Amino acid sequence: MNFQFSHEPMFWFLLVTFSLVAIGIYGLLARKSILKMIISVEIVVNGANVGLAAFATQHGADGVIIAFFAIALAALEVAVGLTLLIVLARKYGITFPEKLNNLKW
Amino acid sequence: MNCVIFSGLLFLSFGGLLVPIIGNLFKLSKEWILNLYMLVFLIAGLLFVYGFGNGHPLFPNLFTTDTVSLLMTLFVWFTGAVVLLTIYNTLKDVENLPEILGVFTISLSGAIMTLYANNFVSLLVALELMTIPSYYLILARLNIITLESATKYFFNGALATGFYLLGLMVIYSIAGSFEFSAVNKALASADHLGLIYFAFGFIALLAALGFKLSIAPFHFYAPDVYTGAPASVAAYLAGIAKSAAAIPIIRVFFEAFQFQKEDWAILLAILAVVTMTVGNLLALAQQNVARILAYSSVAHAGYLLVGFAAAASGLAVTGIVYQAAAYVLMKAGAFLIVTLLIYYYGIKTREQLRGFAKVNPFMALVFTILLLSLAGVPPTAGFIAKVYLFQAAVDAGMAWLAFIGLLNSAFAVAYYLWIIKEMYLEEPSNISKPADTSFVIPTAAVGLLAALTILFGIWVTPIVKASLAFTQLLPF
Repeated sequence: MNFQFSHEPMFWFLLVTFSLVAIGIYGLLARKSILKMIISVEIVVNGANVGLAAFATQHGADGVIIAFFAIALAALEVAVGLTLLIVLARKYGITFPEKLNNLKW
Repeated sequence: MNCVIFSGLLFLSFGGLLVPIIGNLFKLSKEWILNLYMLVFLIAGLLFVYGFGNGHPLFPNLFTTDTVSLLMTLFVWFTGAVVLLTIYNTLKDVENLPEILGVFTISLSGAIMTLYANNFVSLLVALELMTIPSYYLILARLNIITLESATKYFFNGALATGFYLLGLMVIYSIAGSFEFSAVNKALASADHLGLIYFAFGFIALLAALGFKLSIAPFHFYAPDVYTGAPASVAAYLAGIAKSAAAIPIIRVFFEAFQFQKEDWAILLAILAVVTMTVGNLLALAQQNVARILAYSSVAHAGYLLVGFAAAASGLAVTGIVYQAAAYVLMKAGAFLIVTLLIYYYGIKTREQLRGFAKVNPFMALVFTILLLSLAGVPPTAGFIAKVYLFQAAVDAGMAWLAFIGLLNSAFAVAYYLWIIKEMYLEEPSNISKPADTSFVIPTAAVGLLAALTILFGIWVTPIVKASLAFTQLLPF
């Protein structure tokens, strides 16, 4: 099965996917707050989910099912990330990653 | 994955879930909790041994059963039991120890599951089952250092998951399937534009898997995480988790992406050179023993990549599997010795190790054997692994890669031997004997790992036979 790049609606879905991923990566590198970094990671994961769901229209339902898997995994990751953020903020008053600089070579 | 292995996995994960609850209900002491965990590990281990050649295959398009994954299961399981024992001994004062051991057991079941993954989706789920509990494992002792280490590991791991999903999406959009063999078939018939588009997905997947193996541009987190985490947890992250991830990556490259072998082989060769050199040069500059081992684990990821770069050779898979099997024993063992050094003697840097052999000769001997295996000195498993890897590189027509690898191994011997020299040839300065003498049992357990590295340095047959049988299943 060949990749159908010329297929018009798929092009727009791919554009959304790659722009969301690019926004997420930019946010992860540029934002200076742990909460915003967690949200950026979510944007990356959800960008990929959009693509999976879109291509499920061509290849059968697999993609949608896996998108649900990915949503569950993303929820798990956010649970861990928010735990870290809450502990850092409550116990040490840190919400900015550059305060975390104890480990250096 | 056959049903016997699967029941062993269920035993591990439900054991990790239920033992803390049982301990709370019946107000069990910590010794009893450990005994229960050991019982869980024993039953799971018996099932893993019985799973050799027995049992009906389950989930055929998600998981496979082959000789290499069966063999590596035993390695991972045994090393995991030793790590569990050491975590128990060195984190005894932590209040929620039963839960930490439970999280470790669940994460280990994920590590074993990755060995069988045959599909991009099952690989994702298994890798996440392995990684997500390990963020909590790092926080076993809650302070600002472990929090920093966990935060760094978390963001790297989360970004790796994002990249993995992106690569998964691209591959799905071209191939319409997640199975490794189906992906290979579909990609082989893709047109030119499709292949360029596929390259994006390939780079994203390479980044995601590179985070797991800590290969060169993605290795920055490794030293911070492995030194910030409790050293017994670092033994799990650097030893078991990395070598368990190496086996499915063989399948990803040699099965799913097999059709474009020549193109990615040269890319991986360059990455291998960079990873080895960066790891070894930075390790030479370190004082902290845990940090030396962390950078040496980066260098070992580079040796592993030599095997992937030599994909054209029939020996490549043997080299990678041998390296993964040797690595899980020697790296986990070395980190466990560092754990015991920090906990019982308060030794962190190379200078503090001065004259350690006179204080505790047995622990020094075990550490020496493990370090020599990491350096690749015969007769240890690390030596045989390097022989196969570099032989495969020469076979594949990449003699220059084998040459750079050998140069790097020679560099690496310097910092391993430096530690050994400090232990044996110097006079002890002021190492005090610990009041607590409970280090005997964990030291003996790590001694078993060291004995196994020597055993598999002499008795080559089982791993080589298993990996040759595995090679015949791959589409070459």
